[in-house]
Amino acid sequence: MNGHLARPLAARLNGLSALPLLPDNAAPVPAHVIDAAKAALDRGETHYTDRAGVPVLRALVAARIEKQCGVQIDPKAITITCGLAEARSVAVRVLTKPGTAILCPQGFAEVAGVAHLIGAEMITQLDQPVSLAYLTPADPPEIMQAAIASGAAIVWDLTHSGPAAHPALDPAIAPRVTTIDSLDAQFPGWRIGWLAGSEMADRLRGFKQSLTICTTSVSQWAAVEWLQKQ
Amino acid sequence: MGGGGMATEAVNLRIPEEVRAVAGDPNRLRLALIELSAQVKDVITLGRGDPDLATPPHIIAAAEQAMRAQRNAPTPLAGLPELRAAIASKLHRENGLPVAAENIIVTTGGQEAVFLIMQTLLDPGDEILVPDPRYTAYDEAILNAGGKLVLVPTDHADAFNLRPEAIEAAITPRTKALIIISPSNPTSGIVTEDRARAIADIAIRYNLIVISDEIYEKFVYDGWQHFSIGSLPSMDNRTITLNGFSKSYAMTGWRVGYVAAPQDVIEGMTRVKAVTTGPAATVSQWAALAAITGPDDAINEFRAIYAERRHILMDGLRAMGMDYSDPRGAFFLWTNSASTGIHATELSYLLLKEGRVLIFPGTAFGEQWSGYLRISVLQPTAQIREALERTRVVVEKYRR
Repeated sequence: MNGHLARPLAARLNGLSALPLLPDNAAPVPAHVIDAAKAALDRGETHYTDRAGVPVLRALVAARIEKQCGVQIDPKAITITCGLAEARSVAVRVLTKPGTAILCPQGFAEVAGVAHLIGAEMITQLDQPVSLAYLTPADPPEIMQAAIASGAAIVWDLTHSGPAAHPALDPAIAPRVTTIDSLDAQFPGWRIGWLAGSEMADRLRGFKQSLTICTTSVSQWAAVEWLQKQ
Repeated sequence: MGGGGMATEAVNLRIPEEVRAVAGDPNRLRLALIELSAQVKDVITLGRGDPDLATPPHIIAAAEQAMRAQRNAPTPLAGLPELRAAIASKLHRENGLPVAAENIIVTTGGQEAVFLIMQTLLDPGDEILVPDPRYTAYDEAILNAGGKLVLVPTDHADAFNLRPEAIEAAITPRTKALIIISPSNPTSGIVTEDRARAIADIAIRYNLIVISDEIYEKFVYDGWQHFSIGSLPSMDNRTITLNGFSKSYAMTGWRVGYVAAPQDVIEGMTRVKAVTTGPAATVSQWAALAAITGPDDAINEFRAIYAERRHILMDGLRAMGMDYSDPRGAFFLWTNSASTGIHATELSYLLLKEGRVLIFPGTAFGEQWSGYLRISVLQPTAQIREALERTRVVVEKYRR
């Protein structure tokens, strides 16, 4: 097959250069997780799951967030994603719009990439109005507080740990906070992440469904086993 | 052509608010019906295109072997090199496509493939020709990329084969690409080789890209043959072929699809994929490798099972006075329900609520298809017979 298409590709690909890297030094997957994955396959867990993810996994994620951050999130407002990349991609696509700015002090490659694809701009300093504040607990407190006070939608990404408290602990702010985390650090090849909470949970779930229908079933059951033993 | 002549306004239909609210949005309508069906006890689901059959044992064994050997690390974004090579080999051998491993990207299911293709190809305002009726996930992917959907009519009298003249009539200076879905979801029609050749001539004449969705290629019946348009001379640098493992190998939950295309398309899709989902799950890719390099016995067995089921369905529908389009492929019966006098959205809801059978209305595949139902064959024969009987009772009760 020839190397090039008969017509040019979309202009949006120009400048799409940031490629996130997955960890390549993850520890071996524990035998009990593999046993659980195999058991799931043996009982026929090879079909589409609920588009938001298997209910037991969503409940475990809710419990993990509560234990970690003290924030209660209804499991029904949780969507399991194909790794951190899909969680970040869906969040940026749903929570912002073209022509706006996204504050992301950590400058995550997925955030920059999706912003580029949809015609938004990622900034790392709060020097203009933003539609979305993509924050982590490790971000500078003054930027974080100003961004939250601006009324923008908030993503709270737990993959970067830090001292800051979860903004959804404030009930007045909680409806606009989407929590993101993943098991990419532990099992990067299994592709498990999640989007949790916010008044946008239904729309986040809907976009994820339109993108990949559901997350890999066997990976979800492996994640269930791992989270249950934490 | 047309959807069967039923009134299209949802306002007068006997449906609950949660269905009415999404009646004009095919994607949300399908999801709403799936969610409603989860609340129906003893429901028989002939809705979602999820094979009821199990993933073949040799594929599961390969997945286990990979997991236990700790081949669990993430793969390159475009996929496991061994899998890309095996897919290229299959496409060359079975479909006549002149492709190599670098022409392949492994995706997280076929639906992501559609999304990545549109993001890679379309600029705002680009028009893309889509056969109607259609699986409306295409609509979302096109609109997300800023493209404009232009529907190409197909009709019952022609078994929903694509008509080259209908394609040509829809072309404008902004037309960038044409989608062929063969065998088709929802109609189970196929694009025959003679039509594909004529369509290829049009694509070359108007410098169009052809996106060929061949995800149901393994399920063709009654002597009909699957044909890949990308195998035709001068089509290799303008054809994007989409396929996957979900339907052929009963692997919907594994989420593995793939695309074959010119290298610049694959490179573009890979860059978009990096910031969309990352690589497909590693265990799923090892399973897919076993599927595509292993025996086809299971596929042949699946095809025979589906063929038997569709005959049972066809007989049952005829007995109810319902016509259906010649199901040359896939695993659906695109059924003309106009003789019931009931709008398809309402009939689908009544079948679910009173008959405990989930069947998607034609309106879930384009708003005008209010005189059609899409019925899948993805249940055992006893369930299909029971679903037919339940359908008969509901139709007799409400027939106008």
